[in-house]
Amino acid sequence: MNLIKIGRALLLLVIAAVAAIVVPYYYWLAFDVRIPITGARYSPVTDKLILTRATEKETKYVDVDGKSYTRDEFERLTPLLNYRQLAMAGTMPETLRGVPIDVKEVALNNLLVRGVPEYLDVPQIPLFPMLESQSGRAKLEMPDEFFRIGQRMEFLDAKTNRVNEERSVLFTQALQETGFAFPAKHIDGNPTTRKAFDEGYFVVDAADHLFHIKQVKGRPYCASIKTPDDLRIRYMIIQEFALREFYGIIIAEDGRVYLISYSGYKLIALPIPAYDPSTTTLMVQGDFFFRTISLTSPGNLNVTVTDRNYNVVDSYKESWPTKFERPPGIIASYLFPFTVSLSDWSSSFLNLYVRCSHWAGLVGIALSLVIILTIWFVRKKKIATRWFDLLVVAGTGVFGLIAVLLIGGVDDSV
Amino acid sequence: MYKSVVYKEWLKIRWAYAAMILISVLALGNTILNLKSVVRFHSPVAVWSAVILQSYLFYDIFRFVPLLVALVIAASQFVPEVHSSRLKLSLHLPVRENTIVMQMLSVGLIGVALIYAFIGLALSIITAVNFPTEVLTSMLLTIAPWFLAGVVGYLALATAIVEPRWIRRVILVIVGYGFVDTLLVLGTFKMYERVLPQLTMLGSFFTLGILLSAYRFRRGVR
Amino acid sequence: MMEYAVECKNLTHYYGTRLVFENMNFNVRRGSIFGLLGKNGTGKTTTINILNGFLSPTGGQCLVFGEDSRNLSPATKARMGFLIEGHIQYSFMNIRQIEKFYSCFFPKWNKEPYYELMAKLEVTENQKLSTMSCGQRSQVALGLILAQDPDLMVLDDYSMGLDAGYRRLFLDYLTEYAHGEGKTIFITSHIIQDLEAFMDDCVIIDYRSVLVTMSLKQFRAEFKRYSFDVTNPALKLVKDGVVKNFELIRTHASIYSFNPLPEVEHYLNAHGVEFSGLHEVPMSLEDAFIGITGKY
Repeated sequence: MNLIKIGRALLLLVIAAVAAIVVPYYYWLAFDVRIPITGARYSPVTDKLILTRATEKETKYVDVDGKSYTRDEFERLTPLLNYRQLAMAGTMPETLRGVPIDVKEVALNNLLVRGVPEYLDVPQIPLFPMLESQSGRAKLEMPDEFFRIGQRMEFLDAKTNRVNEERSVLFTQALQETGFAFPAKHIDGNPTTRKAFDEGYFVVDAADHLFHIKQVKGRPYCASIKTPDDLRIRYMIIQEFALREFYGIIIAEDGRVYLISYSGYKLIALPIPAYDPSTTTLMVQGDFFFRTISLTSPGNLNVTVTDRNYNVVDSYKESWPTKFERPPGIIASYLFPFTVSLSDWSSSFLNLYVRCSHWAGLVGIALSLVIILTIWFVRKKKIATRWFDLLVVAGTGVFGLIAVLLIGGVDDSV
Repeated sequence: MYKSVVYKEWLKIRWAYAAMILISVLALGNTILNLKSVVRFHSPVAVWSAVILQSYLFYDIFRFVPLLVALVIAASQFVPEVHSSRLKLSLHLPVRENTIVMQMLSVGLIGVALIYAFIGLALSIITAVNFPTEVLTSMLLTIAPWFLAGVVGYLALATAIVEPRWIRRVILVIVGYGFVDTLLVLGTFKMYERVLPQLTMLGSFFTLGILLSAYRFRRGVR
Repeated sequence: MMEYAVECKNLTHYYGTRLVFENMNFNVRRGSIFGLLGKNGTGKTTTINILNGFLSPTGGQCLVFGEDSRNLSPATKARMGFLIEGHIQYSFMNIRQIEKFYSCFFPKWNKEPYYELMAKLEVTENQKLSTMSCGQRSQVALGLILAQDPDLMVLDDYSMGLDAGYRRLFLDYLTEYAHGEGKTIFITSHIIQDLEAFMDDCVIIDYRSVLVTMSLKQFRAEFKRYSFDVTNPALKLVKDGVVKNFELIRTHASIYSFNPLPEVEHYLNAHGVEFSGLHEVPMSLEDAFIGITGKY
């Protein structure tokens, strides 16, 4: 009998757990509201930030002073961003801020790097292709080998699935000569052939030092990069731009952001507040005159505009209620003491993402307790033998209530 | 006595079991041929790139095979028991009721586990021959939740079949489906790496559920 | 040693709100053959299920060898042979497999009577039970119980689906078994005549009530049918202490009663019934059964 009761208790918990995942999922499927996505572009014409607010119907363009623009006007105010459209319409200005504008130059100077939480925290197989950065061919080609950096750097031949000793030794030695401490903690690059050129990989070694590794004419190129002593790298986003201003972005454990510049691998600290890359999207957008760095999270936008030397020119902050602060979310916090979701925008990994409702959740718990006690009272059930059920309802509110009602008593014929 | 239980369970499931082994073998064959043809039409490194960089799951036919195996075996084991209330015969044996029920369950679970071990081993060999160990690890972490889905599916279906009341059967099937569904999300490799221990623990909570069903069956709940 | 193999005390059962029986009391003496008789749907299988622990009674309890039937120990179960209504067995097994399966569970297992019985059937050893006729399956089920050599046999509607030959065969084997030391048989049936020479004690149940609890001998000796002619074709007699059942076809009437003839005559006079030609009519057990349970 005891085992049977334990079996029932465990089933009860499973049902409550499944309910805690499924019920909120369908609740949000039914009641989720679309919140306008706010973005910001800096106009080199008016020297003002223009906010774009995309709702399901239309996109509105408003500058920070509250002046509205049409789409055409917006495009003309941000000619470097919309140069293709303007060039096609023949409305591209000849000069901007006193500088003559050439479309090729505009394209070369336009940059965009994004750090989206769920693409930063992503499952990875730690094997990488080492592209040839100076093959003498117009297009990049995928090599036959992938490498790993464990106790040494090893190249594995896809044709034979064996280690290429010769190249492994070659690269390992090159790394050792630059002072690399095996194994690697982070390896980041941009392993694709759909880019103009290849800069290889940026690697953090066991001693938290940063290195640059690439392949030049079949030979290793290794460089040790000087970084601040207290820098602990959390993520790196490496992306080749023909402008060759920076190799990519470093997001530190403490939330600070750096660019790895081409000039002597100097790290440039971005003049933005430290941020949480697990909840906030970082976007670095560059053009001929400015750099616009935005941090966007649900409910918050924080934009910093700098010149090309990363001196702050303008900044803007805005907050709005998240879905949890709007009526469906508030109702949900009263209904559910907590919700569990398998996926989350903060990561590509599945997990049991628990969101607590704090004090509001007690209302749902109290209501669930009243309901279950009333049902037991009406059905003349003994409460004394059902303390575990009561405990589960007290702990999980409506999910426990659902579970108790679904599983019923041991002998119930319902 | 356990030998006797194994014997009876085996008699019930043997054809289904053979069919499930056949299906596993066919699915493995499909995986091998697929892989070979991709290598033939592209290059080995193109396959590596797809597998490592684009999360091409060359074994993704196995997302549902473990579940299918588990459900078929659970059904072939427990449907004959509840048909004409045959389970009374087992429960009337001079063995504690919980014991005999858990013995029956364990035979099915071991049977399912053996097929899983076979699939897992075969896939490991296929992967190890063609890819580095990192890919092997990734493959094992990727298929683990699929196998867990199978085990949970087996436990939930067995519990549902033995349960005497239809309404509760439906509830158990829905709960089982809800759980299994969370384990079969299609996506990239190693997605479940961080949540596998929690889901395994939660899934194991189904194990004793069949005792409740069997108890209710024996008590003649209608 | 206890006197009774089975004791049912104030057994009451409801399916939902539907009463099956109330306060049923009976004891099954050790070494006796006990029949639970009643029409279909009167609760015979319900009683058997309670007896075997497959149903929790709404009220009262049932003791098997002194143990509450809700929690039968493995040792007690080993002493009980159980024939499920419809001779249900593992139909996916063949004759050999099923014997092999059960043999490990029972300490006193003796396969000889089983194979002896099987030899009489027109079946092969490798034939699955599911391909056998109802009669053949009943013999397999019986053979298994005989091999188990239980102290108490619980047989739920052994006659279901069996023709006269198989019914006779079944009872012949049971009789032989019953001659063993202290063997008790608890049998239910709705076919009565076969049991006449077989049964010691019986309970006859009707919808919601117990009609008779006594030895068969006593029942046969005391339960009578009296016929007479009446002048009033609309005569009605209510069932009471004397009249257990009353039938009237035109002017020909019958009374079923446990009372002797003079008392019935006195009863009729006292109730002002005009009658003639009162006499006792001999009955078979089946007549008596129908007499007490009514034709419908």
